Amino acid sequence: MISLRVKKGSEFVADYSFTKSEVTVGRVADSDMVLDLPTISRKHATITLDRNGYGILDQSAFGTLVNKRSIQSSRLKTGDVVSIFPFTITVSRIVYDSTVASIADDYVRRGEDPLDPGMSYDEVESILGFAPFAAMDPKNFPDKLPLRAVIEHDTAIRNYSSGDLIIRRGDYGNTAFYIVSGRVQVDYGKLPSSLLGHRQRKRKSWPRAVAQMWENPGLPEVRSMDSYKTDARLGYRQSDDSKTRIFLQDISSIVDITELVTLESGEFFGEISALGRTPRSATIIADGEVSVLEIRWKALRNLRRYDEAIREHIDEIYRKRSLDSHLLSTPIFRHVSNEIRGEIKKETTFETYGNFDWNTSYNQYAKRGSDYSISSEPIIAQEGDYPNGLILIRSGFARVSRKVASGHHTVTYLGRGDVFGFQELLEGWRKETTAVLRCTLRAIGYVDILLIPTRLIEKYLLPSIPHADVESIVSRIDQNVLPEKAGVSAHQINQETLESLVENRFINGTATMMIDLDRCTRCDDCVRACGAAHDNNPRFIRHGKVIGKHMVANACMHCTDPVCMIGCPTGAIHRSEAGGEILINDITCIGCGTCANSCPYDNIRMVEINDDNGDMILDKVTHDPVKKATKCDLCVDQLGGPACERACPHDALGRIDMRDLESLGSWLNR
Amino acid sequence: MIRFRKRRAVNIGILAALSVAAYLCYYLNTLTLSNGNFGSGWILLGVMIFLAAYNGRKKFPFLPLGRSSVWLQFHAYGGLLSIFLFLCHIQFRIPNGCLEIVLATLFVIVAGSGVVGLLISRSFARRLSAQGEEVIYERIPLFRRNISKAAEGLILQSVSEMQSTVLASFYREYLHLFFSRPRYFWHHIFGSREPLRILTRRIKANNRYLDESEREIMKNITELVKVKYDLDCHYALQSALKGWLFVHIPLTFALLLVAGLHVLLIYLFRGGI
Repeated sequence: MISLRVKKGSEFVADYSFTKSEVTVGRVADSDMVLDLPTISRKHATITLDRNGYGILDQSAFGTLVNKRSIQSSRLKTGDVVSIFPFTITVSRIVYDSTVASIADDYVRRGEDPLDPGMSYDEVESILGFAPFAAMDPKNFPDKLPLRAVIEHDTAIRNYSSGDLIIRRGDYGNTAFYIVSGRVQVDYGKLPSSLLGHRQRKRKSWPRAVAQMWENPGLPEVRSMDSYKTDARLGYRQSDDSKTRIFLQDISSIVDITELVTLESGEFFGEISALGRTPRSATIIADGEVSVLEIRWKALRNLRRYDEAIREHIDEIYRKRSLDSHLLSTPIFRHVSNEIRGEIKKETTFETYGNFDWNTSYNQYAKRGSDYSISSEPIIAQEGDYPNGLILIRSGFARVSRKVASGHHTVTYLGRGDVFGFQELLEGWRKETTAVLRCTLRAIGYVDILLIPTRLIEKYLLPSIPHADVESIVSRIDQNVLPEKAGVSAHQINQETLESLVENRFINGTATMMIDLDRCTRCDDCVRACGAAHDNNPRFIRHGKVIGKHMVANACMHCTDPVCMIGCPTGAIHRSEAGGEILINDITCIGCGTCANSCPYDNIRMVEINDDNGDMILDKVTHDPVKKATKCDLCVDQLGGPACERACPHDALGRIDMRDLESLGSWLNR
Repeated sequence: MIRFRKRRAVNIGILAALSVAAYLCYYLNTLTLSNGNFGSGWILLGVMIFLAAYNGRKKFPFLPLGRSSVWLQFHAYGGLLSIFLFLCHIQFRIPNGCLEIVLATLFVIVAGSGVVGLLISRSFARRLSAQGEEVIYERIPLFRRNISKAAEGLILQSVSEMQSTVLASFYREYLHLFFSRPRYFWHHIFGSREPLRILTRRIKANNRYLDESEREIMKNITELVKVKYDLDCHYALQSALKGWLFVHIPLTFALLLVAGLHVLLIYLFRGGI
């Protein structure tokens, strides 16, 4: 709350107290503080509350003083005197109570830095003047989350020079971009992956595999400097914020420019990838000097939530690009004709729950245990409620739980391609009644869902599925969500194990290293095999969280949601196009540690590299040791697959795809 | 995914069938009054070479030579079969020549260590996981040193703060050795917790001489004793799990060498048989 005392000369005019986050001062009658004199502009100034507290922005033709100094913008504190001739406004009191300070608190609580910590008032003003934001009505945004705060905290202006790679195909990112000025070129796959920082790794031939016997160096982390020759077509430079940027030296000599698509100022790119946590589908290259507004996913989500134009824009793109393939890949929609699918697509809505940056709070959740994490997970659909549609999981993970006494019992977890609520909708349709949901669906970390209204399901989907298929679908879904007996899931996964796997988000792994401690003799054959397959450098630690009699070892899990891939400046960490493994290209890794810091499971290690003589390789400029990020690569270039798994004599170690609950259950109960 | 129990049943069935077949061959051979030892000897040597090849497989983890666990199944059941083949080969009698005695002794030790290794691999792994916290073998000395330092720190604290030497004397007499190195190896191997009970009893008995503050320190030391005892258990079990291979593998190569010499001598002195 801000309390203001207005005087005209020495004459008292009025006292004001505001709890809202934006207070307008001006001559017009709809101003919050009306100062009706010709020397006052119609919209003279705005007092705003943001994450740093209260501030004032001058918007007048005549000027505003704070403590006798002319300002464009200024922070306000108790005792400050704002002069708007002939009025003086004294800040008599500022209280950041729990309601008013919610914006600042919210950002502090999230522990997040603004995308651009140095963003000024003027820059926010200028961003608000860009076409999509100027057209937005700030009144549609709640007081706790004004448009200005969204822009100030979650956007940043970035300037790129010709040839700069703004985003790369295959990368994951949590930001979208709006072109402020200039233009960019879009490449949908013509650029070779080597220019994107990636490296295609082929399986070794038999002679090369055998040669590892004598070619493996005896010293740790040895690298040949010959391998670090930079591709002449690429260049490195520093951005304004001292980050490394990669640029193409001469784009026209690399790719036929006519095969690229041009985006001009005023257009968005990267929004679907940022909102859906899907790989970027194209590479964007700056064509000349370009200024773009980078928008964090949170801002994008809020803009989409509170502004209809943005919502329609994003939904339209998603409908056009991804919805059809998602519906086709969901088994229950396979029988639906194109026309009906078209009808369904029109009314399908998209929702996002939870937090894309779940990795930043991962340890907090994992440490506090199940009660804390389950209560902090946003509820998507509640047990006992009537289903308002069929929920399809688009990306992320969701927990299916059931209330037991005063707590909740995890029944299973769902991932991309799974559905929720089908059984109840079917039951209601068959009995011509409305069945209530038997379980609660919650977002673990984040989850993107598609909601197809009940009316459409009943009208189009249910009648179109052959009877025999309905039974098989129901029994499969039943297997997923209906435990046969308390304490054990349908897949025979022990309740404690299931809860721990969900709590610790190990369900994210597609090749999670699990060790059965009842069978593991601690012989370390797995570690030795890993070392032998990686130049004598083991890429995992036989240590980790123990769940019952199983250990989840510190080895890269090759996650479904690879948060480590967000923010790599050179694209060195990437998903293999062949098998989907997450790999690090040692040649283009600059050792910045972004991936290692992002990995919530501590499965990426930064190592200092040595030459053939065992001498540490130093950076030519800084003379600091050169570091590289290392982790399990699932032995993609070895014959026969992961050496660790093949080397275990006692069948104790497995690389488990956590999406496949049936295999997980079988493995745990061998 | 095949269940271990089912796999074990199938493998035992195959082993039993092969053993019966081997015995029948041996029995039929004795009925014909011919010397079947050449045949059984070559089969036994072949099986032994195959068993030893498993060690070779372990040296090339990067080559697609099949999963180590499959090899181990063949190795374990092949090893059990080789015991039966060995008994057939020596005609269920104790050998009497010098070389034969050496050879048989080596075989018995290698086979015996293999059986022991198999048994402890199954049982000790379970006991280790039942211990709770996982400890990496190479880090045990570090943990031991830290525990020892903590215990000594508490004793020094008691001497300096309480001006009493009761705790220090007790530590020197009963605990110093315990904290300074791994103890009770065989007790841990056989799963006995008797030494811990004795130590705890002594600590309790000593408590009557301590005041309130010293008892508090002793309580902390008792906790450290338990932690150290569990650490020693890890050390003993993991040492055994690693150590039996130091008997099994070198003697396997010695066995193969002596077996080769045995074959050579047999053919040199077969006397036209």
